[in-house]
Amino acid sequence: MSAPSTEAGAAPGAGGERDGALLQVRDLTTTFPVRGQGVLRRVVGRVQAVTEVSLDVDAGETLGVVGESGCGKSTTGRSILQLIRPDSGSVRYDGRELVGLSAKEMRPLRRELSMVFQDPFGSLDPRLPVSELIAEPLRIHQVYSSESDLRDRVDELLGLVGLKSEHRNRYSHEFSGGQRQRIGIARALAANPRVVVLDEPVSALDVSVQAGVVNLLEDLQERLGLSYLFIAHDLSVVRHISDRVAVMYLGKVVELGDAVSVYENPRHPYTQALLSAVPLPDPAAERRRRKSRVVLTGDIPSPANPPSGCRFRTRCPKAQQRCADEVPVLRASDVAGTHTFACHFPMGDADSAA
Amino acid sequence: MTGTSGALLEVDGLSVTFPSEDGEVHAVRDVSFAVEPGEVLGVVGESGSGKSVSLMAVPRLLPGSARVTGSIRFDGTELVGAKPETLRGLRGSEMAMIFQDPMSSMNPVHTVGRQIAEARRAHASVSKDEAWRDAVAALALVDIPQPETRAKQYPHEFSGGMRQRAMIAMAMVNKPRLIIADEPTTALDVTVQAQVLEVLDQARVESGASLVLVSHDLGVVAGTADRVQVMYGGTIVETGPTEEVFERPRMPYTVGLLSSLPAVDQIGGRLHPIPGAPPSLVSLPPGCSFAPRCPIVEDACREAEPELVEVGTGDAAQRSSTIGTDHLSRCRRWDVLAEGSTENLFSRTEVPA
Repeated sequence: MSAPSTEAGAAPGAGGERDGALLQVRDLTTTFPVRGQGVLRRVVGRVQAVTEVSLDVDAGETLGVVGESGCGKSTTGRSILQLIRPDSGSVRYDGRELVGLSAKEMRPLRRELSMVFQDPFGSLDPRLPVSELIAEPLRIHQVYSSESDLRDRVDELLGLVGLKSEHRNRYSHEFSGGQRQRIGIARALAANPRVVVLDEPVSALDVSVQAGVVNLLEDLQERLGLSYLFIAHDLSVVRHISDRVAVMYLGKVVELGDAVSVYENPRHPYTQALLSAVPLPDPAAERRRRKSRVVLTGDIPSPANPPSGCRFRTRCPKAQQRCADEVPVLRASDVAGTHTFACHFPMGDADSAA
Repeated sequence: MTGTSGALLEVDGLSVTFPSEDGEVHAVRDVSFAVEPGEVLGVVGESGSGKSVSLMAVPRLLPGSARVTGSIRFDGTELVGAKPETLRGLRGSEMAMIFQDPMSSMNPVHTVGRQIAEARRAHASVSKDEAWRDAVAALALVDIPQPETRAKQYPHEFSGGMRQRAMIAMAMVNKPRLIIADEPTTALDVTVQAQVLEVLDQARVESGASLVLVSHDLGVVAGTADRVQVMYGGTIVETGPTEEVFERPRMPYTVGLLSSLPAVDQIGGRLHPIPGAPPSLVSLPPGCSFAPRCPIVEDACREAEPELVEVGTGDAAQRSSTIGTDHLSRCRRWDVLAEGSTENLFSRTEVPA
């Protein structure tokens, strides 16, 4: 891993860093060991799942994280919550450093930092009734005064996610995928969190059901003032729900900014290719797009041995020698510095049509 | 919509049921459609709509417990009740299949080239060398770089997108006349999906084969299909030319499906989900299967399942452009959709699913 060059053009605080953000992530790096085939299973290398990721989530804000499989978006979410221990970097929540805290020290904070998982089938214990599934986090954090108080809170949470209190004695297999995801959301919200990391929360759902869950998440955010880190591969859903968006490629944030700005005026060639690859459910528009689509060649390189310089250069239509020699750093696209990108040869306004 | 002369594939009154502990599962109910030579038919629907089962019945790739009735004619040959040898002769040669998961549809212990050559030799009397050369040519056709080297590699040495392209190569090696692709890009990332769709389209255009593309992704179908059929509750609820169906949907379910999608090119306000859940295929309601979730349902809808009716000529303003388009809908009240805007159909019915 080569050190990023500090370039004169890099705006201070580029990377969407803001003072006083509720969640501040700086240079977060997480690697996984690659073990050899031998008996000793010696570590022969490290997969750089997340490399020097910096981002902020403000109170009440949704930061979307998009990217393709293997880009490190899920590992970023889990590293922030310390579910995976990052190698280095800093995660400050409400002024407190999380990296390096022991599991015991982390536990009271887990009330405030919760998570919704992708698979509504695998993330709910099939042997517990819904009431117990939702009461479990409340019991762990001991945030109830009596059994009747607990019962009321469970009913309140069921109502919050659009389920009925008569559902409380049923088991998760009796529910549809969308309803199960609602139970997962109720669990995540049980202990009154402030930050929720949502890892592909609607990917397993059919579109007509997905829309209802997305609406629910938006309503809950408004009512409870939640901050979301919304991780997904579906660019349409991310655009819909996010205030700001971070685009990741092979462990790095390549572009970060206001959702409208990133989608309307992508500066990184990868963001542009990603946006132009999304098929539109509009036959005439989609046929026009197919003709002008930038189809990337090749596949994502192995994160165990990422390309030198810019990690996207092996698939980039604009790559030059400089891209192999020098790691591009995030720099500001506009005066305000709310939109940043890491590219030596960014897309101009003229050729950035999505 | 049967008996279109010259159709390559004609499916008429197809029904598929599976036995289960709770009773018969009516996975496909009275489905009829035809595919013309060189045509691309898109089949869309959500999980459990019967879209995959209805197409897997064509090459008879259903579990042994499936009970199939009706008629499936491929180039005039009846396949329902045909001898296994008849189907074996067609599968992989005249009609080819591409599945969702390229990892489990290839044999991990043989090289990719050997598997494609084997598919070639199963249906043509060619020498091993010729079959190998055909396999390499097929890999080149799907834009696999260094096809000679790649042919000697094993499936695990290919990335997901390359494996799916190799699957397309295997499907194309015998120059099929019909390709059935069941969610061919669902497991792939969007940039790789774009590559694979392009390759599939190239291969299809070069060979002149017909393509049936089964997908839950309305975007994939919108850009590829000439005609589209929407399935719900095991049956076709709307069918027609792709632009007709997407721009002038005449079935509330299709409207709901389109309006529940967030748009990548638009800042959306609120999404409009379809309330409720799809019907159980064990005990279907007596009337229209969409009636329990429909915002414009009336009593008659619940009495008997409506027929597919021609809807293309409903709107006077659009009459000239839509005459004879074979746009059919299984909705008694399609004229309500033709008269008013379909945009806000689901926005006032929002209730938690």
